[in-house]
Amino acid sequence: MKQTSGTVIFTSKVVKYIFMIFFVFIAVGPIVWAFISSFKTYAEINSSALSWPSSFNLENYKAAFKFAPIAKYFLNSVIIVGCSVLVTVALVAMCSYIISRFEFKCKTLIILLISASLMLPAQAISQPLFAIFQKLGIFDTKLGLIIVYSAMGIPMSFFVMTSYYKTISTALEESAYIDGATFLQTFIHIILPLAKPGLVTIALLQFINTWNEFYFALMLTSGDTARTVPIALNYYMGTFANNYSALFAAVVMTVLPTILVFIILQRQVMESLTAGAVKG
Amino acid sequence: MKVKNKGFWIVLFTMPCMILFAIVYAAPIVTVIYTSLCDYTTFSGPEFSGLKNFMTIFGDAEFLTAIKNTLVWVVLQSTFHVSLGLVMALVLRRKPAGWKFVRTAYMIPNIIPTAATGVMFTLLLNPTFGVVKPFLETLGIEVLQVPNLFGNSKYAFWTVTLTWMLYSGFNTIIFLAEMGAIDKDIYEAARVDGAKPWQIDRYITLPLMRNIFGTCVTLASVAMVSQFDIIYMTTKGGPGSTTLNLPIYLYKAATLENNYGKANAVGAVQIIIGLVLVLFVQYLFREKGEKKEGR
Repeated sequence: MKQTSGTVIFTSKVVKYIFMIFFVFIAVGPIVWAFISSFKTYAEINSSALSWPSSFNLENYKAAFKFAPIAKYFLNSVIIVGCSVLVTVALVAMCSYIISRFEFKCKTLIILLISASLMLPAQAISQPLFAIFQKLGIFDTKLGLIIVYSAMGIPMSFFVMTSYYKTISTALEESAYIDGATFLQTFIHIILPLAKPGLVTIALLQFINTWNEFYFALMLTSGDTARTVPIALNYYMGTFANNYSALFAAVVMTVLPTILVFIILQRQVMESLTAGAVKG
Repeated sequence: MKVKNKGFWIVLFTMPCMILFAIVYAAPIVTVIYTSLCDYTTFSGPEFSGLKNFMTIFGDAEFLTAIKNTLVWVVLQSTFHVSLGLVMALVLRRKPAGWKFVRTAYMIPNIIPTAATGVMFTLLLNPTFGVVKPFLETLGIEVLQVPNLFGNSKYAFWTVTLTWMLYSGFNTIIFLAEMGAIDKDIYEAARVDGAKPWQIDRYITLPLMRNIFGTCVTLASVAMVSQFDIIYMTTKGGPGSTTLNLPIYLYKAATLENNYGKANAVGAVQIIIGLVLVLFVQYLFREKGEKKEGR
């Protein structure tokens, strides 16, 4: 009797580990494969998919840099994502504070509007945005993408932040007002420092979502001035249909920074994503 | 709370958010609904034409395929994909050796740009230099020609599906967070009463996951209604219309045909489908929750 239950526990353990190893393998396998292949020469890639590179060869990376201004795309991404994170965090910090603390006429309407846009498919509104942006003269500019990304980040950040503000006791604000502090003083000196963890959460959430954004970047840019990193890949796919060894290098360069940031900040990133999903 | 000039601050603090909202969401949505009822192309401005665009798209077999594919993906993703995340969370919940590594590694495909995922799979499954050929050779399967998994209409749909269906790390961390919030005393009590591990999962953990499962299903459905990046990078909806979905159909109408009226009619359908799905999922999960409370 004891022996059988021991075997059962052992088999279930083996099954569990096979399950985990399988999914880790399919998750990181393709990335590792692309990474190794990116050091192979064109001939090596063609002769065998599963061989090691004969030498540590950086030709593919040089080619990727030569054929497309990938450094410029990186800079574009940094500027666009950085600005949109700042704008979203600033706007949401203000708006959700009001929603979490005060009762007023249009409050329900604002909440309703924001929650409705949470589920809006990006493609559905892309043509009108394209038309509006052309009229405003911000099509194919960094400003255009910053505006779209900032707005796109509002819904989820809004709900995360509103529920965060609700966990902060109002006692401190009450006593600040009694001491004669103004609304703005109270907000800047008392609320914002207390809300820091919440703000970090929404900043990370916004960073991940906009760094990876592809569709609007595709629809709202046409030249190198505003193209972001994910769009660079589309460009490579088009131009390097035959020179795919450079494509390997391009993929690795797109994927690696995101993975590094994730591994360094993984606890915070996971918390942010969970908060975004649960509260949004 | 007593605040001087309360009304002024309310307006000042909510205004910037609302203005941005009006530009990026409100104005486009109104435009989508209006121009879906118009003749509208790159070269001619919108001119009212009634339901013509809707008649066109619903009379187009490709559009119906796009709706069908979108819905099949919604169903697969809200059932299999989300459940896979749940199973992984149940395995990792007991913190087996290496669980943190597994959690992080499994999360990576959900963190990298989806466009990159598309390119990576295009390379990985390439018939000439990808892993399909050595894989078949190892299994000892002789083929005259290595199948082009993205280019052959026999395999394309399922190949595209597998690029996202198995990667449920995002759901796993959501479930893990929810499981971490369960009161430890409940587990302790069950263990004292002699419940086996699978019984604990079946009768304690799983029922408590109902609401969050609903959240994951909602997110998965919405993601599938607007799934674009990977399909665009791998098959662009082809071969034929085997992997065509609503976003790709819309994109083609707007950029290749330059038919904005048609594209926006598709957009209106996409918005409605998304809305109906969200309400349906909420209804599905809320009703069961209330029934349980009433018991």
